[in-house]
Amino acid sequence: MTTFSISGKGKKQHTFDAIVIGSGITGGLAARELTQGGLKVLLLERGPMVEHIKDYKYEHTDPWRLPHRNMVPQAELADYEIQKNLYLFAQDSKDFFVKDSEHLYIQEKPFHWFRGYQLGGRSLLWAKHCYRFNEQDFEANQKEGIGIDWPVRYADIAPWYDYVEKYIGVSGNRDGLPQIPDGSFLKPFDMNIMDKHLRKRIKERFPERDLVIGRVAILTENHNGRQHCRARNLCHRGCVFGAPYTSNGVAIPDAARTGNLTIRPFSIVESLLYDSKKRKVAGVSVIDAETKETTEYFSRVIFLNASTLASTQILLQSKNRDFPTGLANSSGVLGHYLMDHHGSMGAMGGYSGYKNSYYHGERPASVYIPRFVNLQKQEKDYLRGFAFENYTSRSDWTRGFHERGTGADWKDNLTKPGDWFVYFEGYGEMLPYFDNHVSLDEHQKDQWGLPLLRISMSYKENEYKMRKDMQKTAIEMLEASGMDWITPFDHNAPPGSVIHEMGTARMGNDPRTSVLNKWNQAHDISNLFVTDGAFMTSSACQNPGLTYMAFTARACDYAIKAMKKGAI
Amino acid sequence: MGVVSLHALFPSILSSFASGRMMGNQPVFFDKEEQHIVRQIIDVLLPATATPSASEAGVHFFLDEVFEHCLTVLQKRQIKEGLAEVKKISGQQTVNEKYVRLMDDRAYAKDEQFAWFKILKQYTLIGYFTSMEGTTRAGDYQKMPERYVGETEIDEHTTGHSKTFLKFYF
Repeated sequence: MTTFSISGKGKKQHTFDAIVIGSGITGGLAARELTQGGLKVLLLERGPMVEHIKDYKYEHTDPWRLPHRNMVPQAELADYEIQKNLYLFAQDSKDFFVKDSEHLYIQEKPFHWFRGYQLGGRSLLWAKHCYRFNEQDFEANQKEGIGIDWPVRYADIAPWYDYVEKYIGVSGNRDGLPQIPDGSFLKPFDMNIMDKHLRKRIKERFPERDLVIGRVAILTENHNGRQHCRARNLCHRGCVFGAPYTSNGVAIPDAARTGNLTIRPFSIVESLLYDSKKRKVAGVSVIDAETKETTEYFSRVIFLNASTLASTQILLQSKNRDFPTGLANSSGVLGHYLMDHHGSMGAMGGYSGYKNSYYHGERPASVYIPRFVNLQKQEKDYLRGFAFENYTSRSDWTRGFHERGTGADWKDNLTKPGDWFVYFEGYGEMLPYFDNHVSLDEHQKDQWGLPLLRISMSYKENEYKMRKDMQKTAIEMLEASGMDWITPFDHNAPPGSVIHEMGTARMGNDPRTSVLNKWNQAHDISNLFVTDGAFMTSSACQNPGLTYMAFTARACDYAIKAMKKGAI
Repeated sequence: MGVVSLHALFPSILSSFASGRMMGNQPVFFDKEEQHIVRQIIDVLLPATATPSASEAGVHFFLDEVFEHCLTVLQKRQIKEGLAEVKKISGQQTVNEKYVRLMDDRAYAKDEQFAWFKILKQYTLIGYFTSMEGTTRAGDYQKMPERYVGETEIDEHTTGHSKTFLKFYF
C-alpha cells in the first residue's frame, strides 16, 4: 500500500477529484468505489496507518506471551474510561481504541462513544453481522407516522445489498425469512448441537420464531483473493488470511491498486470549505494530528464518512454565513434524531446434556433469532421489534472463578469441557426522537482547538416497554429449551453501548425536514455526500453495517455518473 | 561441566520466560514470606496431577507481576491483609491444606473477610490455564483450527479447548 504525505502548498498537488473523510467501514468502501470509477481520491484518516498484516501486532501471539495475559494494567485503564467497558477491550485490541483521555466529549446524559481512530477505523473491530433491512423497515415510519418517511424502498436498495455482499463475502444460509431477506451468501458456518437443540425447541413452542446461523462478513470459502476463516475467533487482532471483512484488508488495498488513491493519516478535518457563489463545497481544512499544522485540500466532490457523530460534528464545525447553524443545515435537523440499538439485556442459561458433543475450532459467529414481534400486525404495546444474538458454547475453566473447589479432582474437572452455556442478547429498534441530539460546546475545546461534542440521548417509553418484552421472550425461549438454570440480565448500559449509533443527518424527500436526499447527497449542497450511519432515518433492529455499505456503494455510483454528466 | 549446568538451568529459564519474568528478579508485589505462602496455597488449589502443578507452571511469578499491575488499590490491600492473616495462623509451618479449603468455603459463602482468597483463586486459574504449560498440556491448544466443525464426538477423557479469546469476567 502506498502512502503519500503531502507537504507542499501548491494548490495543484492538493487537488483531487474526490475527498473521502474517514477510512472505516463506509469510507474504505467509498474510496474503493470512487477510485475504481476512475476518480483520483484523497482518503483522510485522523489516526495512524494500520497496514494489513504488517500492523497486526498480536495476531499470532500465544496466550502466555500476551502482556499480563491480555489484562490491561490499572495505570493504563485510566486512559480508557469509556472504551474499557467493551467486551473486546483488552491488551490485544486496545491499540485499535481511542484513549478517552485524549479524545474528549461531553455526556449531557450518559453515552458511551466507542471509537477507533486509525486507518480502517472500527472496521477492525466490528462483529461483522450482516442482515438486510426488509420492506417493512423502510415503510414503518410512513405507516406509523414516526419521524419522516424513508426516501427509498427495499427494492431500491436490494441490488446494492447484492453488490456489497458479493464484494465483501457474507457467509449465511438462505432461510427464506421476510424479516431478513436472503442475499448472495457464501456457505454458512456449522451449527453446533446446542444451536440445533435451541432451534428445534423454540420452533416447536413458538412457530413464528426462527433461530438461524449468523450471517457474517467472514469467509467460509476462499473469495476474491482472500482466504477462508481458520476458526480462531480472534478477528479483532487482525487476520493474515483476510477472512473477516475490514477496510484495511479488502477495500483500501483494492483502492490502492487502482493507482488513484492517496491516503493521508493523522488528518483531523477542521471544516469543509464552502464556495458560497457556486453553492458547493470546495475542499477541506485539515489539522495534522501530530504537528497541529493546518493544510487545505480541494476536490470536486466530498464524501463524509467519519462515523455518524464525527461526520455531524464536522458539519456543525463548518458553519458559515450561509449556514449559520451548521453546513447543509437549512432544515435545522442536523444533529437531531440520534439513534442506537438498545441491547445489553436478555438471559443466559446452562444445560448439562449433550455431554459427548463438542466442536472443533472457535466459531467467530453467533446464531441469530430475527425479529418476530409486530410483523403481520401491531400486537404489542410498543412499536417495532428486536432480534437476538445467541452465543452457545461448552463452558471453559473460567467457570472455576465462580465455584467452590480446590485440589486434584477440581483441577482435572476444569480441564474438561463444562456444561453448555447459552447467552441470549437482545438488540432492539430505537425510534428517532428530536431531542436525542448532539451539538457543539461553546467553550470547551480539545487539544486541536476544536469544540467538544455534547451528546444528549436517552431511551424513551417505547424502548423501555420493548426491553421488558425482550427479557421476557428470552426467558421463555430458554425455558422452552429445557435449560437447567436461567439467569436474566440487564447491564443497564447507556445509549451508545451497542455501537450502532446512527442518524443526526437523516435522509428524506423533503429538504425542510431532512439533511440528505435519497442519494445520500446534501439537499443544500450537490457535491457533498454523507454515507456513514448519520444518514439513517430509522434504525430497524438489524446490525446496520451492511446497510451503510449498500447505501455507500449506491451513492458512489450516483456521484460518479453525475460527475461524468457534469451535473456535479 | 559447562554443558551439564546449562542443562540444569534450561527448564527454569523456560519457565521464567514463559511467565513473563526474567531470571534473578526479586518479587515486586510479594515479600519473600508472602511468596512462599502463595506458592503453597496455589499448589493446594492446583496440585500436580497428570498435568503440572500451579507452581510448576510459574503461577506465583505471574501473580506477583499481575497483582502489582492489574489489581485495584483496594484489591491489593485485601490480598496483603489476607496473606498477613495466613502468616499469623501458620507461623513457620507449611500452610495447612484443610485451612485452604476452609478459606475457599468462606470465600464462596461470601464472607467478606475472605474476599481476597477469591481474587487469589481467580488469578491463579488465569495464571495456570494461560501459561505455556497450562495452555499446551492442561488444554487442547488449537492455535490454527483450520475449519470450524459444529459437531464432534468426545468422551470423558477429552480436554477442553485452551482459551485463546482472553477476556475475563470475575
